[in-house]
Amino acid sequence: MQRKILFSLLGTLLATGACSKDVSLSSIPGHDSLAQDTTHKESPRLMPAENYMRSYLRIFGGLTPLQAQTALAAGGDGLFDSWSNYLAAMGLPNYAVDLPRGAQTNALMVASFERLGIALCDKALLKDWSVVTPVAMEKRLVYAFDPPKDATDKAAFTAAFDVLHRTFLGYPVKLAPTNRVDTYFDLFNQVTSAHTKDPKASKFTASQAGWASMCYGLVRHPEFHLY
Amino acid sequence: MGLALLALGGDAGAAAPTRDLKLEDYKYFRALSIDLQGRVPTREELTAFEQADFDVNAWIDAHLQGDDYVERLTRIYGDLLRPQINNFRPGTFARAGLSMTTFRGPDGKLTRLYFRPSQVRARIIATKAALAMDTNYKSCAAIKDPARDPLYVTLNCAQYEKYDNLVKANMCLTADELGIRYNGSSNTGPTPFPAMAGDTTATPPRASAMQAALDQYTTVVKPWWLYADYAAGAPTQRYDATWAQRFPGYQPANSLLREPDNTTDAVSVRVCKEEAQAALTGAVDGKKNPDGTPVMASCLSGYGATASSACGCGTGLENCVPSGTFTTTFPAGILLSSRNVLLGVDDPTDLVNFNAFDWQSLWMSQEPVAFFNRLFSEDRDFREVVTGRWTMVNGPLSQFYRLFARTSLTDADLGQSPLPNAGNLPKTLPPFDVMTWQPVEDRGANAAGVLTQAWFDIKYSTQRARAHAVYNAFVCRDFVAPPGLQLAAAAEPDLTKRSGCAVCHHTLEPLAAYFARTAEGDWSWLDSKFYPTQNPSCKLTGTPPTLSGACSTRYDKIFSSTTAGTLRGAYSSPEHTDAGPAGLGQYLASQPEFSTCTVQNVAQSFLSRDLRAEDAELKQQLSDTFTQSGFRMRALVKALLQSKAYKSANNWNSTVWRSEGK
Repeated sequence: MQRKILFSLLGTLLATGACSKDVSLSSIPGHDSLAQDTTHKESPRLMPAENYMRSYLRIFGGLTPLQAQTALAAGGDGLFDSWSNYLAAMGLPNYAVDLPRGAQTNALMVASFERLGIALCDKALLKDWSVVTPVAMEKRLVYAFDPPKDATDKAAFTAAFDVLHRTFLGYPVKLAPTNRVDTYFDLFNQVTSAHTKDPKASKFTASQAGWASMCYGLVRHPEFHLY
Repeated sequence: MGLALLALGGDAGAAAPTRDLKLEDYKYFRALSIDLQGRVPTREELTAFEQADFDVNAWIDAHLQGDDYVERLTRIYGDLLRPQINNFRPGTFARAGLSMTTFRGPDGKLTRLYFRPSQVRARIIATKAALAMDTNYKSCAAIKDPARDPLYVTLNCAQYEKYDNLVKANMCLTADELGIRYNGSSNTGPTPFPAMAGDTTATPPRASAMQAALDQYTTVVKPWWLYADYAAGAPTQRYDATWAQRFPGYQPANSLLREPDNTTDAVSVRVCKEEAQAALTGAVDGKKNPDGTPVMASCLSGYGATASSACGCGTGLENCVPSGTFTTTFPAGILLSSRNVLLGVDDPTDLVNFNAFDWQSLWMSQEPVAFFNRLFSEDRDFREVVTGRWTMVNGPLSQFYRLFARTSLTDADLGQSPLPNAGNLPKTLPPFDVMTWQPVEDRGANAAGVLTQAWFDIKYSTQRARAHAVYNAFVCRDFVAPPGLQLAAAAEPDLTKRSGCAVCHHTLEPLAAYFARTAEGDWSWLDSKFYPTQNPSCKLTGTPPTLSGACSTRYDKIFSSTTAGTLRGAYSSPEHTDAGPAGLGQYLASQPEFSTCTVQNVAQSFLSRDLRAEDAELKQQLSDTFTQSGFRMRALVKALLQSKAYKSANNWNSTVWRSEGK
C-alpha cells in the first residue's frame, strides 16, 4: 500500500516536473533534425458564384443559363425550377441593394448546391446513358464511361470513378488526401444494394443509381466548391 | 478493364501522366483555371496540363489576354463599387418619354397614339391663350367637386372638358376628335368617351376618332423600336426572328410589336406631328433676340424639348423612348431583359419585362462594366479609372446621353458637363444595338473616369456618398468612429470643426467638395459660369438674412454671407469644388496609396482574404511591379499568380480535410 502511494507521488512529481517549463522540439532527444512545417496555413477559398455557374454550365454541355434552365426543368420532375430562385443563395451579390457577395458557405447555400448538383447529375446521366439516342463517348457530359458490368470489380470502379473525380475535383483520385476510392466504393455498393431491395423507388437502374450517387458526392464535395 | 474505360472516356492522358505531378500542382492549375478561365478545368484541359511540354507560365500569359481574365478583374471593382441603380425614377422623363393612349381609328379598329407630354405645340399655345381670355374657365378650373357645386352647371363648365386631354395631357387632339375622355386622375390612362355607366379605364373607346383631325394633327412613323433601317426614307426591315442574331439582347414586348388586339403586327405608329420632327435646332416659341431674329435652342437639350415647337423626337423617334402607357411617370414594360447580368448581359438568367426606367438604368449600370472591360482588355494605365476622359456607350446609352440625360436641368447651356454629348457620341449606334460598345474618347476636361459617369451620380446620390465610395475603393480606407465617441450638442455648422463630427468630417467634407458641381441625386453638372462657388447674385438679403428662392436650391444659406452665396457642399474647400471630380482623380492618381490600394484590392480578391502584416513584403513587391509597369494590371496579376502567397492560398493538408465519413 505504501509502495503504491510512493509510486503515485513519484509519478505526480515527474509529471509536474516534465510540464513545468516549455522545451523546444529540437531539445528532445532524437528530434533535433526533425523538419518542422512553419509555413502559414491558409484555408480554402469559396469559388465565386459566377465561377460556380460557369463551371456548372460548362459541365452541362456549355449551355447558356436559360438553355440550361430549360433542360434542367424539363420532364416535370421538380429537380430544378429557375435560376432566379438560387442566385442569392449561391452567394451572388446584388449590387442594386448593396447585398455583398457571399464569401462563406451557409446552410442555405449548401442546400442549394446540393439541389443544383443533383439536378445536374440526374439530367446528365439520362442524357449520357440514353438508351434511345446513344451518345458517343467523347460527347458525354459527365459519365464519359460505360458502367462496369461487374459491380464488384473495384479496379473497374476506380477507373470509372476517376473520370468523375477529374471532372469535378480536377485531379486523379489516386492523389486524393483521403482513402476516397474505398469510401465511395462502399457507398456505391450500399446504394446499389438498397436499390435492389426497392427498384421502383427510383427511375434509375441499380447501376445508374449507384453512379448518380457518386456524382452527387463529388458535385457537392467541399473540394468542388472551394479552391 | 479500367484502362479501357478511361481510353473510351477520352482520358488516356490521365491514365498515363507524362510528368510527375503532385496534388499541389493540380490545385494550383485548378485555381488558375477558376481565376483566369472563370471555371474549373475540363478533363481535356487536365490532360493537356499533364503533358511533359506543358508550360504553366505560357498558359498564364495566354489567359491574361482573355475575356475571362477581364471579367475576373472587372468583378473586383464591381464588388467594390456595386454599379447597379435601384429604383431609378427620373422626373424629367416627360421630355424624352413618349406617352401612349389607345383610341379607336376611323376604321373602327383599336390603335395607339404616341405623344410627348412636354412637347410644345402651337395648338396648345393658342388654346391656352383663348382659355385665358375666358373668365368662366378659371372659375370652372377651380371647382373641386363638379357633381355638388352648382356653379359647374351654371357656368356650363362641361364645355371645357373637351380640352382636358389637349391641355392637361398636352396632346395634339381634343377628346372629341380622338373619341376618348381624359379623367385627369388615373395613372393608367384615359377613360372612354363618351363615358357610360360601368366604364373603367380598361374599357375600350366606343367612339371612333375623326379622320380629318388625325390627318391635320398626327402622322404615321416607322419607329426605331420596330425598324432596323428606321433612318431610311422608307424603312422596310421590320423586327423579325433574325433580330435575335443581328441585335442580341434586344427584344420588344408585345405592347410594341402588336396592335391593341394583340394579334395584328404593329407596322407603324401614329404620333402627333410635332414629335415626328427631326430638326437639330428649333426656334423658341414666343422669344426673339433684340435684333428680331428668333431665339434658337438645341433640340437635344431639355430646354429645346420644352421650349420649341420645332423640336421633335428625331428621325424614327430615335431620341425618345416609349413609356408603354399614358403617363411617363409610371411607365409600363416595353422591352425584355434580365434582372441578373452578373454573368454578362449576353448570359442572362431570366427574361422579364423592363419599363423605360429599368431599361435605361440597366445600361447606365453597364457603362462602368464596359469601361473596366476596355481598361483591362487593352491593359491601359489603371489610373484612367479616375482620370480617363473617355467612356463607353452602346445603342441605348447613346440614345440616353443624346437627350434623356440632358433634360434634368432646363438650362439652355449645360456648360462643360462631363457627360457624353450628341457631338461626341458614335454616329452608328442605333438604340436597339445593345451588345456593341464603342468608346467616346473625350468627354471634356471635367471628366474623371467612372467618377463622372451618370450611374455613379445616381448610385451615390450625395456628395458625401460619392466621396466615401472613392475613399473606400481607391484609397482602401473607411470612416470609422473611435470607440466611445460622444457627440455633444453643438451649434458649429462646420462639420470639419464640430467636436466629435470632425473625426470623420475633417477628411470627408473636403473630399466631398470635389463633387459639389454635380447636383445631388442627379447627374446634372453645375457649371461654374452659371454657379460660381462664391456668387454675389446669391448673397443673403433681407431681415433675417436669407437666400432668394432661385438661389436656395443650389446655394447654402448657412455658409453664405451678405456679399456672396456659397455653393452647396463647397464650404470646406472652394479649391476642391473648382477642381471638380477631375481634380480629385488627378490627386488620387498621384498618391502612393493609389497603387498600394489597387494591389490590396486585387490581391485580396485573388487570395480571398485580407492582407496582413506578414504580407507587407508581398504588397510592396506587387506595388513596385505595378508602378514600374506603368500601372498595368496584367503585370500585377501575373506577379500575383506566380507568387508563393497565391500558390499556397489553399495549402491545408490532408489532416484538415474531412475524412468523408470514415
